[in-house]
Amino acid sequence: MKRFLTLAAAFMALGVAHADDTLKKIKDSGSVTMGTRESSGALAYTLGDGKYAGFHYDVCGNVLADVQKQLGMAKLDIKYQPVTSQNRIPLVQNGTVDIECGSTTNNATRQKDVAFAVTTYVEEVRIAVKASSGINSVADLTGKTVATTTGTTSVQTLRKHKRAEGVQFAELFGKDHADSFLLLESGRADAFVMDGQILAGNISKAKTPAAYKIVGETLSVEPIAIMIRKDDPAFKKAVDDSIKAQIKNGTIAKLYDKWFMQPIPPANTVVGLPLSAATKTAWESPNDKPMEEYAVK
Amino acid sequence: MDAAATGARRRSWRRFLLRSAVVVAVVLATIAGAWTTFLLSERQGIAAQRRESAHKLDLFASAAEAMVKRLEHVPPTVQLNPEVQRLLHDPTSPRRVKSVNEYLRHLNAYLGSLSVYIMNDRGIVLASSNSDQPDDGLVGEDLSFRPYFLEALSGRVGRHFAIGINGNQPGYFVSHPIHDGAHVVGVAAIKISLEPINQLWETLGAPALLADTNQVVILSSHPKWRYTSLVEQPLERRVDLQLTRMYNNRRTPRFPIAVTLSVDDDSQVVETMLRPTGSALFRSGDDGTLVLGRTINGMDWRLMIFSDLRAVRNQALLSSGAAVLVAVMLVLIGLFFAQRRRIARQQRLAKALLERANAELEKNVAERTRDLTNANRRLRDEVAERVIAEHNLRATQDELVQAAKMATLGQIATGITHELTQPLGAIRTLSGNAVEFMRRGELEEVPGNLSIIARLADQMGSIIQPLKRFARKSRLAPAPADVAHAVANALFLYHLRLREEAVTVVNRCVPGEAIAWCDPNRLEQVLTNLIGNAIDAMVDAPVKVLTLEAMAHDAAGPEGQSQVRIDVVDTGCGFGEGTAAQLFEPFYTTKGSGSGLGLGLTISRDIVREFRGELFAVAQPGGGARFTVTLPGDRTPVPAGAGVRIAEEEST
Repeated sequence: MKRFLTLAAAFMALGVAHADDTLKKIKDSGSVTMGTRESSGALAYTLGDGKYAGFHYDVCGNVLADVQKQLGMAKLDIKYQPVTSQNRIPLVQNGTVDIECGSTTNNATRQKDVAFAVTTYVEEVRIAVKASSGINSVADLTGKTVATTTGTTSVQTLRKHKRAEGVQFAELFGKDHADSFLLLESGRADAFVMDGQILAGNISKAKTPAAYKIVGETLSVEPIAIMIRKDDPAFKKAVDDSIKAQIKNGTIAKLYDKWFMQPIPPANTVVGLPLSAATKTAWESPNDKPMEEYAVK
Repeated sequence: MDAAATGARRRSWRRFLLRSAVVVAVVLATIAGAWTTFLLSERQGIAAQRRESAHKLDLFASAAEAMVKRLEHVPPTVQLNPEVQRLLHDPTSPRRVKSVNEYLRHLNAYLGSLSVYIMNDRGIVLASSNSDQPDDGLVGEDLSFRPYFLEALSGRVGRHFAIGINGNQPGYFVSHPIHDGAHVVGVAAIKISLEPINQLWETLGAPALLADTNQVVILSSHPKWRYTSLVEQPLERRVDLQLTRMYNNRRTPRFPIAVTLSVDDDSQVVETMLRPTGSALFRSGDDGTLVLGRTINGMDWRLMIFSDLRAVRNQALLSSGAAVLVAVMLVLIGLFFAQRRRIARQQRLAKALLERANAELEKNVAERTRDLTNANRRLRDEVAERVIAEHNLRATQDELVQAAKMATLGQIATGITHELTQPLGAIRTLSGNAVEFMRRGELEEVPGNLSIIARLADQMGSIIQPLKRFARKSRLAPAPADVAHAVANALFLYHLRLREEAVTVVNRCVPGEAIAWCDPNRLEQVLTNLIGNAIDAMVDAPVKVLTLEAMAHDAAGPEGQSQVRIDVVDTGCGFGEGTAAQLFEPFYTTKGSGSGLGLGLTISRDIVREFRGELFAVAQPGGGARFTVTLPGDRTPVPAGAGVRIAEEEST
């Protein structure tokens, strides 16, 4: 009887390993590939020359250190793969990227393809405009051109917002957030709809930050999380445990303060986005609920 | 009575309802029959149409499938070229780019596809057969937003329809990951032209379309249908299509025909009927369309054919028309028999009515006959009464006549008394003488006296005799009467007065000349009255002449019979114009009181009229009056009786 149970457990383990066992892959290869973003505001961005930084980048670094510790590896080679809004999910799926630490919204559609760790940051989609534009709400967007970044959910969010019913506006897509902000800066777009922290980060890095402001209603509340492959419970557990520990011991709060409230490289500007109540709540009871379960206030 | 009327009304109302119900039922049955026939025929036609269309669709689908799938295996084979792997690891070497471009160009030319190209893991085109077209596949283009790229990057095969990003060249894209060991390092893709499929539409012979995964029409025999959406695209999908630039930012309006797609998962067949709007019988132009669709194997494309059902419906209409004709004929036959029955019933009814009318008529006739009989009896009774009345009248009249006669007799009694006094005295003297002679014994003288007495007695008798005759009550009994005789009798009654009054009597009546048809006694009474009047009228007249004339005229009467005319003319005081009218009125008299009742002329006229004669008076020009009596002549047939005459008059 005991032998039979062992055998069954062995089969089950085999099955899991066969599906996608990132921990085994990391241990076997001695390396891990972290997907990160080149311009996702203070969450993840590049410093140039293959170097990356940001809140999520740091959280991920801590997670991988915990994984290395868990696997008892003396040395872990961390490779960095810059990803885009388009290719981040395929790259996680095809195994190129093992853990993506950018600014990916955890939503129900994506959960069909990939898995998310517990939410580390709650984003609120807002509208950034030039301070002189006179735009103060969604309703003011009538007849305006709205910029957003290709591959993001922001436009859908705006379209779906009940205040936007009957509001006609043109859309312009930036290749990335920097490009989108450039559309706003150059005047080709009247507004830039995006995650609040990305907008804040871009404004802080602008030549004259005072010329921009974030206005209007919160269009949606989106949980941002670290993305991993689907159907890999062992790896997910390792990542989740690490994040929970970081929440518990205050590491994550410190990192937030570092990236959102203090001057950050390369220009030593301050994003100035205090910890939101939503993010705080997410930390208080760690979970991987998709965006659909967050109600727009 | 009221209840019966109400009952009748209710019955007729019920009959009306029943009849209406029958009519409605027949009409409904006809419509239902026509409708059923129409539906059956239509269903049959549609089934045939469906079989035919499905067959055509199968042929078309396999042809299209073959055209597209022929090139699907190309992307996986691209990575077999080692130059491609090397390019992905070191994309910066222009020489390598050139050599791979060359390879891809040759491959593309050989395959006949639109383009073949290679992308890195960010979706940037590294090498391509396309070097000049502003389209997917141009080297350096960022295709990271294309689903086929994302699919292949995820390690799967990507395939979908899309319009080239900068051109308007539509195509079917198939992509495949390029592996380096376990990692996906790039994506190889091919763009296949769909133009050959456009050549196939003609084989279907009906409007058809090809829709892609997003239910957007990508190819159609109807150019207007192209790039229309079969379904209402949800917001996410619309944003998605925009993000992936699937239709190069074209708007995809709704497909002009409302198609509801019910996909049968087993057969992958879509079938819908597009019912024409409005009633099937009264529609204009739109005859309904059979939509038949099927999925092309492994491409998630939907092929749909829109078969016009005009022919099917026309056939169905013809069939239903025939059904209606049959129904109408049945109804007509039914009506014919119903009509025949009704006519028979009406005939029966008419006969019964006629019989009843006859019976009634007979009853009426009997009633009338009874009435007539009654009336007849009543009339007869009346006639009898009248006869009695007349009889009474006559009796009264007779009495009156008699009374008048007696009055006249009274008047002339003085004269008569005087007449009789003389012979009576003579008889007394003679008889005394005779007694003396006998006492003296002179018997020879006695016989002479006695014979004188006997003569005187005879004389007295002859005086009394007319009186007796005159006074005699006589019944009305017409007979031939000699007018001269009657005149003589009347004159005799007055001869003493005539002598006393010294009236010259001119009697021109010749016995036997004028014979009247009347009662002689009454005629005598009339003449007595007239002569009496004449004598009275001439009492104070200077010349006293009484002229009497009688004449018989043949054919002088009103009806052509013979007539007797008697004139009594006096030379008395005569009468004025006003008096002439009053002469014959009862109780009119010109004489002093005690001389007469004033009834004489009235009674006389009545007597004359009773014999169908007339009495009238004319004043003489030189004074005096002329009274004329006309009477029917002898042998004039007198009608049987006045009473009978009245009855005859009333019966006509």
